[in-house]
Amino acid sequence: MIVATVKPLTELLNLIISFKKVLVFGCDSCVTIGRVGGEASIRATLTALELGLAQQGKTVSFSFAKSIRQCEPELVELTGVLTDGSRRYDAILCFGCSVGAQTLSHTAHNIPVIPALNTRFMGAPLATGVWENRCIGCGDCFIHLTGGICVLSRCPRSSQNGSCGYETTDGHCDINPEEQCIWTLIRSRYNSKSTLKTDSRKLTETRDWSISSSGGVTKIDDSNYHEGHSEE
Amino acid sequence: MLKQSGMMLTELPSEPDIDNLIRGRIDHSREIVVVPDNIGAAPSLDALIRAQNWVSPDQRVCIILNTRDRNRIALASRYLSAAHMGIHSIILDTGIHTRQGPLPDARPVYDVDPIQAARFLNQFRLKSESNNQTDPSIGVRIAIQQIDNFELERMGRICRSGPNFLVLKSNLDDLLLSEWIKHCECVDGFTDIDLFLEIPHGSWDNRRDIEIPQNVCGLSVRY
Repeated sequence: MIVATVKPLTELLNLIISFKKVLVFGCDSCVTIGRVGGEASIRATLTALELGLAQQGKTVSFSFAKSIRQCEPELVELTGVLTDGSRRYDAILCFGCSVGAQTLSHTAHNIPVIPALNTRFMGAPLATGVWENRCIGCGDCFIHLTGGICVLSRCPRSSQNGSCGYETTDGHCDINPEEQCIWTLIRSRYNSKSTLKTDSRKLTETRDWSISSSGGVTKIDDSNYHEGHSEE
Repeated sequence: MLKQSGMMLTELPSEPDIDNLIRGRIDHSREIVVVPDNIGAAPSLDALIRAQNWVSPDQRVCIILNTRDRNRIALASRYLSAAHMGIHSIILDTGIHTRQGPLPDARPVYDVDPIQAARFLNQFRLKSESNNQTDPSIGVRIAIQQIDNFELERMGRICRSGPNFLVLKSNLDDLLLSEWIKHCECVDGFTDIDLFLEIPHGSWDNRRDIEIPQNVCGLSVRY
C-alpha cells in the first residue's frame, strides 16, 4: 500500500492560513490504513490546525468529505462535493496520497489543492504503526531471484549482486546500522528455499530504467483488454 | 551545511588537502598506484585529474570509479577518458553512500551496481571497437562473507559479467579465504580473473601464511 505521513503542522498552517473556506478531503484506502487519511486522524489534525490558527487570530471554515479511493476520478465525483461547478471552497486540503491529490486537482478544476500528506513509499506494515518500504516501481520485478526481497527498495545502494562490501563486520548495513544487511537475509532464504535456485543472469544485466515509475509519464494502456477477453 | 528559515543553503566543503596528503604517501617503489574517487562522498577533483597529477611515468595507474555518482553514460565517458590517458585499470565500486558525506541530501545515482557496470563497460568496449592493448582492464570490488552455494552462484554471475580482476573485501580469516578461493576455482572463468585482496594498509606482510594462488596479491586500499 501507499504509505504517507502528515506534513508538519507549521507547514500546514502556512499553506492554509490565507483561505477562508477549505474542503478537507480524506481517502478511505491506503492512507487510512496508514493512520493519516481517515476521518479520526484528520479530525485530530484539524483540531491542532484550528488551535494554531486561533493563536494567530485567524479562522478557517473547514468542511469534510471523503472518497473510498481518492485516486479514481469517478469515485471522487460520486461524493458530489466538487461537481456542481460552483466555487464553494477556496481550497481543498487533501488527506490522500499524491495520486489522490492530483486526481482531486484534475476534478476540482480551478480550486487549489493543498497536499496535507507527504507520500513516502509503497510499503507494508511490520507491526502496529510501523511501515517499511518494499517497492520502488522499477517496472521489471525480479524478487524471485533475490529471495522474495526487493533489493532496489531495501538496499541503500540498490546492490543487485550481493553485498556492497561496506557492511559492518557483524553483517549490518553501514547506512542503517540497526538493520541487517539485506543480502544476509537473502542468503539465508536462498540457502533454505530450493525454489530460489533459478537462473539469475538477469541480475547482472543492466536495468531498463525507462520503464520505471520515475522520470516522466509512464502509462499502461490496457483499454483494449475486453476486446480479446470476452466474457462467455 | 546551513539551514536558514526553511531554505536550504548548501555550502560545498572546501577541497580537503588530500592531494598533498596522498602525494606525500605515494611509495614510488610500488608498481601500481590506486587513485581514489570522491573520497567520503565529497565533491573533489576528478580521479582522472588526480591520476595525471600524482603519478610518475614509471608507475601504472588504477582509478576507482563509484556507481554512486555515475550512470552508464558517465561511466562509459570515464572509461573512454581513462583509455585516452593510458590508465592501466579501473576498479568499479558502489562508494560511500551520500548520506555519510557532506551532502547527505544529494540523490545517489546507482543506475547500475559495480557488476552490472563491468558487464556494461565490457559490452561498450566491444561495441566501440576500441579493444586494444591500451584499454584499461576492468575490476570489481566485491565482498565475501561466507563459503556456500550462494557465494559460488554469485561468483559464477560475476565471472560471466566479464571483469578482468576482482578486489575482494573479506570478513573470512586467511584459512577460510584460501578455502573459498579453492571452491571458486571450480567456477567457470574464475581462474582467468586476477584477485586482489583488500587489506588494511601495511598489513600484507603479516598475511604471508595464506595459501595464495598465483593470481592473488595484496592490495592496500583505503576507500
